[in-house]
Amino acid sequence: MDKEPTQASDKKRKKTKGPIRFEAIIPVTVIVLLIFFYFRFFFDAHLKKGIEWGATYVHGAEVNVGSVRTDFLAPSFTMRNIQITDKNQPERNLFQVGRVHFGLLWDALLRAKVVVEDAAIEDIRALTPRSRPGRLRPPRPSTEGDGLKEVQDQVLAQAKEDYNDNLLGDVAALLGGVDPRDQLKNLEDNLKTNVRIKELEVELKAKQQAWEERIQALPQGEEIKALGDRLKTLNFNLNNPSEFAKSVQQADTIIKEADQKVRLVTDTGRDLQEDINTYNQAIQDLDKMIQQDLKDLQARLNIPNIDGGDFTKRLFMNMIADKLASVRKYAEVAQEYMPAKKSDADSAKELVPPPRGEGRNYQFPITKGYPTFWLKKARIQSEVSQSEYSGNIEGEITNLTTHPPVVGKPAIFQMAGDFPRQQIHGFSTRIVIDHTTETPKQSLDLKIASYPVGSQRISDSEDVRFIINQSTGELNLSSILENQELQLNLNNNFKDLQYNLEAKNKIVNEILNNVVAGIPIITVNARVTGSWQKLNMHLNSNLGDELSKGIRRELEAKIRQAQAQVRQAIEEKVGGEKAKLTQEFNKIKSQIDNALGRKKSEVESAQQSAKNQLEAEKQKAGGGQLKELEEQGKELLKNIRFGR
Amino acid sequence: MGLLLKQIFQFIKLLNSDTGTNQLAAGFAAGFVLGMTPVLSLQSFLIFICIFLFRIQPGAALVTAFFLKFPAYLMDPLFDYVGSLVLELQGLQGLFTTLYNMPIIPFTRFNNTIVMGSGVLAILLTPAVFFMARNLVQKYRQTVVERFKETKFWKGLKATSIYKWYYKYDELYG
Repeated sequence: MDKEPTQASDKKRKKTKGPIRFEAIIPVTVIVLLIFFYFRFFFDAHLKKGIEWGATYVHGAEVNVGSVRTDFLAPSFTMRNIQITDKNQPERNLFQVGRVHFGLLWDALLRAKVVVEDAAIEDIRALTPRSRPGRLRPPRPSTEGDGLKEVQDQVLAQAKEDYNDNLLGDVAALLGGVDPRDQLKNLEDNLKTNVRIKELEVELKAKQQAWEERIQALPQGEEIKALGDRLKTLNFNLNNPSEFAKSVQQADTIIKEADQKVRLVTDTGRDLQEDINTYNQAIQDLDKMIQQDLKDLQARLNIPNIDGGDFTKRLFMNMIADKLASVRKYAEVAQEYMPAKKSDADSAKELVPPPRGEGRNYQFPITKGYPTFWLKKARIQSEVSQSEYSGNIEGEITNLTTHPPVVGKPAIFQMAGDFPRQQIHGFSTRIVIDHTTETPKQSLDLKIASYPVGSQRISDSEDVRFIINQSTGELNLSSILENQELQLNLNNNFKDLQYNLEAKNKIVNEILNNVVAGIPIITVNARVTGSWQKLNMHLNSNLGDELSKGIRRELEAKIRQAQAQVRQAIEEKVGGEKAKLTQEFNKIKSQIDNALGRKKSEVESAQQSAKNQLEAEKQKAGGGQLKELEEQGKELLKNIRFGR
Repeated sequence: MGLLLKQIFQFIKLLNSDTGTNQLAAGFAAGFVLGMTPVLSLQSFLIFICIFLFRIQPGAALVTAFFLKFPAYLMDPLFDYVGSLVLELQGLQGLFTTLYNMPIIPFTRFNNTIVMGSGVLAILLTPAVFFMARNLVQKYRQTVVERFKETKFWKGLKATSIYKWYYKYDELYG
């Protein structure tokens, strides 16, 4: 039995094989063929399913792709009949694209980069009916950090400050004779100025105590007197050089101590002065607060401001705000997907050591490199079809990339055309996103020669209804965003106007009718500058100006009177408190100033008398002799110490 | 998983037989390189192709790679240091720039300090690992396996019909 295995192993040993597994040729061939057939017959279908699933997941409603075709030899990717369901109306598509084609570059793919040499997006149609309603995904809970919504809200909040959705209603109420005095009687105690005054009062008490404590800590009269007494006890005996030198030294010490005390008094005085100045500034700021309270109250009591520019702003700001929020949103998106070149400071941040196990990546010069994604050129084309929302569009996208500095060219998106069925004519847009340098620059030019404008509610209240039911608009928008600073110019013209005008008040009715009769075209022009955090918005409109003029004629006196009443009410409520606080502060300030001055003069006088006494003794001794005596004295003192 | 276990059983069987010393040693060397390389990368893929095409014991490679992964992680600071030394060599900057701009080569992540450091050390140490593994396998067979074969337990087991039945099965179906 034991022999069998040994013989068998001998046989095996004889069959020793070479280092190459030739028997692996067949399995390898089979695997290669399987991969080939998979990519030839199944890959496109699986990719189509994957795209549909992924797009549906991201969009939140069903996305269908008619077919997908990939080619590996001449790398390209083509999708046909893409249908994106409208989330709000699942029985129709938001968009339908006939064909999307991307021609890729092998050289880039081998470097794990996607470079689209040539692309085409054709036959775009909007709001087309679906053969069956699209499936909807359950809505995702909104995340706390919804950045885009936040930035839009930031812009809208700024615009809201300048907008009054019932401006004409307020005007009518005032013309009707509403007296703000009745409302002012119940003026609440929570005026910002009032609250601040109370805070300052408490603060002043605390400060007074602190200031007094600091003054108490300064050298007292006894201490200063003690210095003088010590000086008097010194004996400047010229006949005894050692005693003389000792006295000079002690006098010197006393002068230094007096110096320190003077410095302490001076420093304390400076600190207190700074503190007093800060507090004084807080009191002066109360005036600004009063202005703010005045503005707030005026808004609360619906007292309109009828100055031309402001009137237009309050009337039309909502028209501009949405457009501005959209510009902000797309600027943020462009910034996110096309980051600007990093500055040195940003590069320095990356020098933070990477987590263990990841190592550091060295970058070598790119002599023939590509960005991670680069769409060199894509043609956009569409023609009018049966669809209600189709149009004749021609456009192109160039140099869209994830790494603009590598490409060195700005991304440009331009499109022009008409949507005849929608009566939109002369549409053209050009968006330039230049993130090739450290200072990103984005610009947008949009022109629409003619488009139908639906109902625009300028005022819709019980008192006044001023609605433009229908009009034809012309839009011209140009904006530049450079270094987070925005410059936006928006020109809107509305013609072929059809109004719905109604006002309870006769005068208002007359004003509105007269004004609109004289304006065949309404212009609304906006200029917005500044950073997103603080936008300066200027609006002008011939309608706003004319309305303002008409209303001013009738109302100016009444409005001025109402404004004066509000100002007076605030002054009454706050003025007394403010005066009391100012008086109290001035009293405490003068007390502090006096105490400090007294201390300072006491210490300085002690210091001066010490100096004078020392000088007098020096004079007595005579210049050279004194020096000689001092030297002798010091020598003697040394000997005495060594003798010990 | 079944294929993996089969390879590991094959490795144990081969280790305890008296053949395939070079296959095992090559397996250990390949596993050493796999274990040292941080993650699945192009070079790992090349090693797998080598294991598939050449007579390298896959079980030995997988077991070695598995047991070396953790020590390699602890050695990352050393790899990082060696890698940065190599990547900063002035004489090689031209070569690295060329490689960096070539197709496919960047997939190796050679510009990463840990990949470069571990790669350089693994390549330098692979011949030593191969010869050391061969000697250790031979010594193991001479001392442990031979001694085990002399034990009464083994002799008793060999005498059972189950062993003979297994032996025959192994001979026929391997």
